Amino acid sequence: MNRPQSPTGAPEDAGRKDLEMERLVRRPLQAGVLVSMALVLAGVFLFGALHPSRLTSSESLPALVESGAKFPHTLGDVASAASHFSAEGIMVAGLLVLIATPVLRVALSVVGFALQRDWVYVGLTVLVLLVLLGSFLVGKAG
Amino acid sequence: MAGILSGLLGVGGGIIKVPAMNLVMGLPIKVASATSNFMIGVTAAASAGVYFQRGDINPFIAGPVAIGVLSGALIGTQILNRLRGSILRAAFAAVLVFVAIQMLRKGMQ
Repeated sequence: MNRPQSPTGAPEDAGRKDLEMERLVRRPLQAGVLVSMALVLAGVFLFGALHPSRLTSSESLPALVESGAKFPHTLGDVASAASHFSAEGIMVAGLLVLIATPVLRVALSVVGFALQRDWVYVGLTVLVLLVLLGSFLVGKAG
Repeated sequence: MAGILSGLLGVGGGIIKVPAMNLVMGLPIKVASATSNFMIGVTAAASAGVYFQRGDINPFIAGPVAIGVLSGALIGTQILNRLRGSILRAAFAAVLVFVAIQMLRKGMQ
C-alpha cells in the first residue's frame, strides 16, 4: 500500500483508470521532448557547420544574443525557414514543438478524463486548455 | 499566491508550490515535485507562446538552454524513481536555503 510505483508516485492500488491515463499521455510527452531536443541539436550543429566563424569569433557571438536581433516569429516563417534548412528555422521549430508539448498533454488529459466519464475534470481541463489557447491568440495583440 | 510571489521575486514557482503541496496539502514530496513541474510546464507554455509571437524568443539563447534543461529533466526523472522521499526532501531543503541566501544577498546590494 502507498508504495510509489511511478515517477508521479501513484500508489500501487491507484487502479486501472490511472494506468490508462498514464499510457495515453506518456508516449506523446516523451516524443515531444525527444523530437524537440533532436531539432534544436540539429539546428545548433547545422549552424556550427554553416557559419563556424560566427560561433567562434568574439565579435559575432555577442551579436547573436543581442536584444534587437530578429528571428522567425510566425508559424509560416518558421515552416518556410525550416524547410529551407535554415539553422535558425530548425532551432525555432524545435522550440515550438517544446511549447506545444504541454498543450498536447492537456488536450490528451481531456480525452483521458472523458474516457473515465469524470465530467468535472473534463470541464476543468477544457478550461485550462481554453486559457492556454487564448493566451496564444491574444499574444499578438499587446 | 505562488504565481504572484514567483513573478515578483523572479524565482520559479516550484520553490513555493512544492513546500505548500508537501506541508500544507500533505502530498508526498515526489508527487509534489512532479505536479509542480507539470504546472510550471503548462504555465510556461502559455507565456512562451506569447514571447514567440512577439519575436522575443532568441533561438541562440533558448536552444542551448532547452537542450541543457531537457537533458537535466530526463536524468532527474530517472533519479527521482530511485531516490527515497526523505533524501529528496533534504535536497529540496538545501536548495531552498541556497536560494534564500542568494536572494538575501541580492536584496542587500
